[in-house]
Amino acid sequence: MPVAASAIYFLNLRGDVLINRLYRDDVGGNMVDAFRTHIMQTKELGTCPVRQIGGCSFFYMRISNVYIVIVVSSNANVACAFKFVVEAVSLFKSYFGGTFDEDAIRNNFVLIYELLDEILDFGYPQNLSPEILKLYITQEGVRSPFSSKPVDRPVPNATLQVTGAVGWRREGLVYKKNEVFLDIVESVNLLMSSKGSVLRCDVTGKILMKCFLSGMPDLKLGLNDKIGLEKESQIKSRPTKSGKTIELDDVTFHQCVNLTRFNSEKTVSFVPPDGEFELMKYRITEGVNLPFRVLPTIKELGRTRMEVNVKVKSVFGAKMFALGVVVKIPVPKQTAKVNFQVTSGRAKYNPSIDCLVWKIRKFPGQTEPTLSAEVELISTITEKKSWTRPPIQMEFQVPMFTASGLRVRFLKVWEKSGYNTVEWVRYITKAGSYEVRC
Amino acid sequence: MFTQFGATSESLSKASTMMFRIGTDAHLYDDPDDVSIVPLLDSKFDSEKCEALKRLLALIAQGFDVSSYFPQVVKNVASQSLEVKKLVYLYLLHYAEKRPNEALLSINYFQKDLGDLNPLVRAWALRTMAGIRLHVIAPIILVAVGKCARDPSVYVRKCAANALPKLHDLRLEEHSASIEEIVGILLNDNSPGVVGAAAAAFASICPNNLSLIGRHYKRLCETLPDVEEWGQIVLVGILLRYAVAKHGLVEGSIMISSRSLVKYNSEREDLEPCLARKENPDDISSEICSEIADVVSRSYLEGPEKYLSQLSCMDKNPSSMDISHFTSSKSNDDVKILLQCTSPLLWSHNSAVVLAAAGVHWIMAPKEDIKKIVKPLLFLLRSSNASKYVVLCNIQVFAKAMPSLFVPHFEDFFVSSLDSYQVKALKLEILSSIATCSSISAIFLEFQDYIRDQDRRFAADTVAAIGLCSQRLPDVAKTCLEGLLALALSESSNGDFASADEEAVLVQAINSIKTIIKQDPPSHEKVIVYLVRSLDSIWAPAARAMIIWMVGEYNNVGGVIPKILPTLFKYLAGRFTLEAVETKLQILNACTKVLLRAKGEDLSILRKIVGYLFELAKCDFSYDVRDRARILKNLLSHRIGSPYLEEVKDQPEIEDLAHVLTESIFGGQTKPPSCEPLSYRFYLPGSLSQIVLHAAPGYEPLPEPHSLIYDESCNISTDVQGIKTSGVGVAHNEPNENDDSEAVSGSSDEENTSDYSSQESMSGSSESGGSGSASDVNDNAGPLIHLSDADLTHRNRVEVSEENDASGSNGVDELMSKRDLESWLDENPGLNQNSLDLGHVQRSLARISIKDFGGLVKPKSYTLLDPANGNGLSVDYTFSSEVSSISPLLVCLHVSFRNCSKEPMSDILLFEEESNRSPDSSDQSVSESSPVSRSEVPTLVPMEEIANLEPGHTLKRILQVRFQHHLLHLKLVLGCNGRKHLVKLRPDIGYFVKPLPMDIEEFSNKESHLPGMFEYIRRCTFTDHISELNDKYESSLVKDNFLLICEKMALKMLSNANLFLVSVDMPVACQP
Repeated sequence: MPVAASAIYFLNLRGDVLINRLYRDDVGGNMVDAFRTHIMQTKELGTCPVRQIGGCSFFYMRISNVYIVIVVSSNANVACAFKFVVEAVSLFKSYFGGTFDEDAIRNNFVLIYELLDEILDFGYPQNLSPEILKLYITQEGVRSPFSSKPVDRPVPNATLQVTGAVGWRREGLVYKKNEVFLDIVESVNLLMSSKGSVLRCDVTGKILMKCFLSGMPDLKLGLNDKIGLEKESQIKSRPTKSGKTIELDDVTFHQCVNLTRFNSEKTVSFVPPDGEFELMKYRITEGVNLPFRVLPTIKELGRTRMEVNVKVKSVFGAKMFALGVVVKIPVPKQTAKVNFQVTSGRAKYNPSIDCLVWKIRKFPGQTEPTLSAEVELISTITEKKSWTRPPIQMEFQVPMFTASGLRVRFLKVWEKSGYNTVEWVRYITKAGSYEVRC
Repeated sequence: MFTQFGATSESLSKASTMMFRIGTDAHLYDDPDDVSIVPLLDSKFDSEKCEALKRLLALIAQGFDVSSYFPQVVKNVASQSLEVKKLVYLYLLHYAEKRPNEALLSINYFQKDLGDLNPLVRAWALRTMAGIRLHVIAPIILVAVGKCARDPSVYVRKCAANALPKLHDLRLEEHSASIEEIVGILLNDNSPGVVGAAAAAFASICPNNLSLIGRHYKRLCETLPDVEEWGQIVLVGILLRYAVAKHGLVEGSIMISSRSLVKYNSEREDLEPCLARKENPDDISSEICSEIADVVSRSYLEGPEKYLSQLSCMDKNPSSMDISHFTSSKSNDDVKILLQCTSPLLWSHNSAVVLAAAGVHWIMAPKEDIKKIVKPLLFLLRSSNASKYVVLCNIQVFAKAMPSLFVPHFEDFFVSSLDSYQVKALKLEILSSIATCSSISAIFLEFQDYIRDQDRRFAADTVAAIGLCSQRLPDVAKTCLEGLLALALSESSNGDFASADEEAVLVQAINSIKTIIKQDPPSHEKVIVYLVRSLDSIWAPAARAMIIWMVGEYNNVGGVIPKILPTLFKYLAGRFTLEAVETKLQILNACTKVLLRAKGEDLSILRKIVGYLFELAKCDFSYDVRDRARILKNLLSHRIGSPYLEEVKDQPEIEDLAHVLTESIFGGQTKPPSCEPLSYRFYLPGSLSQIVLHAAPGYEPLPEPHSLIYDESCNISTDVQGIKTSGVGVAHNEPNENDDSEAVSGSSDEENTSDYSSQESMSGSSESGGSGSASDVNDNAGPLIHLSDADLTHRNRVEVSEENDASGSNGVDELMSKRDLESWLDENPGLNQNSLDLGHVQRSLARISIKDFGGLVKPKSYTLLDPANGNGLSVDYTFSSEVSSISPLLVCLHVSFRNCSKEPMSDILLFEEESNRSPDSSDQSVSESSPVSRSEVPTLVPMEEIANLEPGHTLKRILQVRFQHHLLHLKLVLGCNGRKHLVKLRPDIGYFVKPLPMDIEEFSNKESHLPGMFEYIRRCTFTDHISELNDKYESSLVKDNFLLICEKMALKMLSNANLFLVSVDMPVACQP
């Protein structure tokens, strides 16, 4: 079943309609009112993204301060609808220069209407690739040459692209310097018990690519993943080189990657779109190198005092360092005063989130700074229930480190003209939800 | 501000546009009204026109009606500037329906744009034109779409594919054949982009015309990975339907596993559990839950509503499938290729594509291969919160039917603090259904954490999940019980100022304890005693009620409980007045049960207590409690020596009766939890229905396995055999689907709507079988075509007069001479009485007449009232071809009323709008029983009033309407709950038609009376059949192509529910 959206609305937080576009006449115009009264004004908001009211279904998502609502009257593919919204928002962001909020919508409402006309035809999602759409739907208006004398001129290049075989790349690109930038961004999700045993741990990574390549290049990416290497050694009939291999649990690829070839040969080969895009996402659950270990001890001394000791140990190479490390240690609501002692960085009590926030700007590897704090609590009468102790959360970024151990082995670029390319590779590991129970 | 300058000189205007470009459109959005728009629209500069149009768009966005500018805007469609054009298009699309007449003005420009060199212009023109949803221009659009479907540019072809659903949505029955034809062409396109859009069109136009897919199946599978992601989703669904319809279910897949295991006792039965055990040595229960799997597969095939209703009327209908119906993924190429081509999609970036591909594997892949969908599905849990919810809804079904899939991945379902409540609840449910002995300890550790969660509702759900786990895994019941008891105690300790949410945890804990005890009451005696002891601290009424119920239920279990009963009831009697109603009722019930079992001195004490309790209850505030006490007292009169005892004693048989009654009500121990009928509802993975758990409009279960019979040649020969042997009535049905390669169709080269006479000659070879005009044989077809001449050998000439009414489409009916039409139509009823067997039908005629095509053509449903406007009342109507019993002028409609709201509705009635009554029909009275003459036929025969409509129910009524042969809407009033809704009934010209047999002379006479009608002449020359005829002459004419053609033609016209005057001349030069 297709999405078959009957209407799409953009609302602000008050429920005012910013943009509305009706695609089919099977839903009435008063559908927004139904959404407002039955969803926005109730507690339900934000809990369940699919609601049915009087025969119509509403799929909604909140993006910054805007609600995007898709109204559907028949059986539709919900996953497809949400994916569409996500894709559409990233398209708008790329048009508006990175932001998508109420103001951006106001500033670009004409453009949004034009885009909505293009990306959702009669409720069916169409090509959402910004690279191509930008060729013929532009903010500056299509004052393209063919607008003046369409009959005499040959069909302009831009329109050929729309109709080309590769839906995401136009032909005839020329760069003086052919460069490829690869960013491997990993985020580590961790849930650790207070005793230091790992309850749940995985790494979700993505490979971001920025291409400035001329012509129609064919790229091939080699990683140190197990399946790919095994397959390669099978083909070349020689044993794999020693060194760490990674087992990628799950991968998803950008639509440019030839999936059939990945299925048969386990190689990632593709014709990249121009500019920046996300080549692949993967997940790894085994053999994760945790960059940090957190060892908390929290003692409740009577009803009004608490002692907090947290030791954070960096377990990556001594030459590397982490940036922007933030450790959030939760304390009870009735905290009155906190005295800190830290060996590195700065710490303070943030009452709005009920946490002790410990920030270390630059955190070298193989060190273990500690924080010790004395927390004074106000004793209250209703304080009968014990404090539930939410987990300690951590944020960080470690450049040139991958928690999964993934490395790019090669990136081959092949183009007819045979130019040379320069490849740049960066690695960075970030914290996803890095939580330690205490 | 800048515009004043702009209007003065050209240079300044250019400057002003420059200024506009620098800023954004925000100022236009915020006050679009600050300059007058009309002069800007009339300006000769494109930039000013653009600005005006942007202002209009801003007004539209903010919900103002700016349709008054329509004339000024429309003329700008002629602008050469693409940008102006685009904005005008946006405006047009928004208001075209409101201002149809002005919108028509733009059509010429669109047609001009369709010939533009720039594919973008062509595509946009087509898209906008198709978006103008006017019936009048539909034929023009159809022609344009047909042309664009052969455009050299991929983009234009894609737009053509997208325009098809829009056309279809206008409900142009007469054109549906050509629309489907174009779908077929586009499905065959070389470019994957077009195929994706064509798939979407197919799914919305003719999802059941699977024979169309069959022709391209292999190619579609192969292009699948290259189709753009949105198209992939649709295409995967279509291919799945085709594969099921063509090849049936796959042997060894989840869909038939349970049945084959149970029914055939094949070797697999022994084989598979072994396999499973090898994988999960510690686990028995995690193999496929066959019962649920069975429900799932049946739900997929039949739709849960139907399945559940079947379940209620017959306990288990043996499935009628036999093993030969199943196909194997190894031997069947089509299934193999489908699985092969969908498996790369599991790595797609798009979560919906992954889900769709997983759905195919779930249904079609053999069980041991399903594993490959698990990891991709789990990866989807990393996407946005909304998608996560959708994916979990689907995983939940997979996990329930086949827990073994997800058993090793239980950690993925651990709740994270960022999840929304719905997501958390789903994860808990999945966890409790995939827990195994090895993972349960880890899961319980995790649960302990959840119980401490701030969100008490979630904590309560966790407690319930613990109960479920312990039910599934009896080994852990003891641990669970201990934990739950501790929890109950700690929860009850802070019960003083507990809110409703807080209580929920406690109540749920007691409830879970109850379910555990139920499984084995004697061994848990101590727990009950313990709970009774803590009654003092447990304050939640629901929890107390449950504990008291347990005491009553298990009052003679073990040795301790009977001993504490008197004390307990003394305590309860003392507190009775303080209890909540719920608890009071439970106390009364419990004491009744106890009294029935009590012996010896306990009995006397209990009697006193119970008597006291009844006295108290008699004066209770709640009538429920009072009533319950009165009933119980009378029932128990023989046990408690009440004042009524004497009276009762006089009638010992009543006493006995009361005794037996009480015993049977309260005495019997409740049976151990029996297998309740599974009332889960399952829908196809990925559909909206699966998420909201009821069939959303338009939901269709999988097609019947093997419903698609594709082998065409044998099909036709059997048909002809049928014709030959029976000679009189041949049942041949082609449901509402059409083949594009049929001999009669081929409306490719119309240039203009007014000129429809084109000639085309075809060779008969395409028709006679090779290129595959698939026809379906349906078992329920009624006799459609009567052949009055069985003696085929002596026939020289076959004249088929398929007689129908004649009229054009909505758009052209003005063109015809109206008087002729009226006279023609009004003669129908008189002639209708003629018997079918007319004497003057010549011997050498094969006559095709229509009897009832209502059963053959699937009627189209129209909406009379949508639930959003009608406070939840949804009314749909379909036309039926039944002949009205009152007057032949009336058209019968089936109206179905559905209550979509939560409250029952009453007094639903459809009646005529008073003001609408035309003077000549105002004197009609309904009660006339004499044969009504034409002028006295009421416009609407009142329907039977629906007194009450329960929520979710659907009622059908037959409505008889006279449209007066007008194509105007009939305004009616729908009364419901005392409120009135104005509704419009849209006539369908196809149903004005009544069968009318006549001979040739009469026919040609009539024909001459109908000048200037839509004429559409096609000439086909067939040569093949003659040679075949000659060849097989001896073997008594195996194939009669004429008859086949006639049937096809008649069916085609009937399936369109369209009106034609058809005369077919078929001279046969058949000389051996």
